[in-house]
Amino acid sequence: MIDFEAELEKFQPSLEIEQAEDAIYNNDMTDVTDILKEMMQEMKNK
Amino acid sequence: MNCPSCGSPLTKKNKCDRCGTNVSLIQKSYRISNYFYNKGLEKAKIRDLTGTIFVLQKSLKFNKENTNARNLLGLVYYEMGEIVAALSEWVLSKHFQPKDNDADIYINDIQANPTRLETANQTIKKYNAALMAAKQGNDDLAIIQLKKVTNLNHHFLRAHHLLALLYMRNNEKEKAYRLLQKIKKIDVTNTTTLRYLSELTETQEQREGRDTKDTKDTQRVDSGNDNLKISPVSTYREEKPNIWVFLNLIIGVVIGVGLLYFLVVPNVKKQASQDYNSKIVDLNSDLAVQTKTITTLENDKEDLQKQIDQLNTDINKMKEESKAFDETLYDDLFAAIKSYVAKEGNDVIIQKLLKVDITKIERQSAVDVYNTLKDELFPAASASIYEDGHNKYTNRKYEEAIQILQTVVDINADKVPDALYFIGRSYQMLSDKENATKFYNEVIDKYPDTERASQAKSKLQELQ
Repeated sequence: MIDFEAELEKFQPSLEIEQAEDAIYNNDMTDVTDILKEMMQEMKNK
Repeated sequence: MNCPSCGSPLTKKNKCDRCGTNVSLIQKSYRISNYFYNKGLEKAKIRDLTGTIFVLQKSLKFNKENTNARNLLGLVYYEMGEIVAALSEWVLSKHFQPKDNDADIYINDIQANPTRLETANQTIKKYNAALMAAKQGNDDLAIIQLKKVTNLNHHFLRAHHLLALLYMRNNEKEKAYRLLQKIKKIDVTNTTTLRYLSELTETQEQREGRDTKDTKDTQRVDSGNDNLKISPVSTYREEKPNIWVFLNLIIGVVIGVGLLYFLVVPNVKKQASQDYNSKIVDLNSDLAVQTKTITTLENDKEDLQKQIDQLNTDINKMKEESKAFDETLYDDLFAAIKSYVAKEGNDVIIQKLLKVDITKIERQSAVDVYNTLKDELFPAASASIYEDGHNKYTNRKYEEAIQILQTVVDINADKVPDALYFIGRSYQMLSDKENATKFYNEVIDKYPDTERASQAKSKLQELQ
């Protein structure tokens, strides 16, 4: 059985157009490549 | 592909020729990213949008600069009605690959139609308002808002899910089921859709199971250790449209139209008739006022016409009077004055003065001038003129004598009785008895005590 209240809590407000810029800037862009580069850099420094 | 450390182009080797960095791990990372992208593409082709999102996000975790994956992710978001998320992905894609990027096409397409963008934004705002209302317990308001949202954007999955959830909470399972079936075609593996559908199906099965229990004997079968309730497995079926509903609707519409025709239309007509009558009364009163004004103006016109006629008559009269006025009336007087000033001789002056008709001259100054000249010249001249006339009579020139002697009469001096008598004599000699009698009588009447009067009487007797 679905718990309606809990289910309702899962719904989050949708971003409006005006908030698109913030969404882009706040996006966590770190990827595996970045981690690898960092690791290689650290290894190089050692 | 370029070296992540120095940016120089890489060959097929695992090391960068320029900086010597081992790029094998990074290349592997890129390959994994591409692998996930390909999986995402496959899933997108079969409309497994949720799965697509999952693998594309993985792809981007391995290589955030995979613009193909990012563009596809944007497209999937757009298909699911998440326009802001889609725009974010395309903008980032454009950031990583400014040239030859399909994101340009997508962004321009959205920006080319500001109305559509504004509508999408309004849709999002309505969805947020509906979500807030739903969380506050205002399900009715939330459902109304969400209906609008889903009508505006048929692909906005989140709004459809929320609406379906509210339907389910309000026991409108049919509606929820239809809604979920509709969005299932957009995203075939959406977990929320499937979960809700599953819930609905289970509920349906339980209800049908209860019905079966009530109407039929329950079959219980021992199966190992558990007692399982065996109930017929049924699939969900949409209700067939009930024809009576439509029939009742049509009957209702017919009755409504009938009521409208028999109750509302007569009142409307009556109201319109009253309005027209009122307008007619107003127009009639206006007409009466106008008629009265016209009558007044016509009377004024007649009065003015009378005044014009009177003035025209006066003008004509004055014209006639001006025509009767002899402009040469004063000419003879001026000629006499001129001769007097030039000293042309009394006879000449007298002849000119005699031509003046003093009875028609109105100006007193002219009359005074005439009288002055007359008093000065006439007494002295009358004797000589009379002698001249008498000589003509003696010489039997009677017509000339009459003319000259008439001058004496005109001068009105002492010799007038003599002049009148000899005028009469001249006419008698000319056998003009009538004129002769006239002048004799004039002598007798005007100068009765003179000798010429006695002579005139004797001559009259001769004539008779």
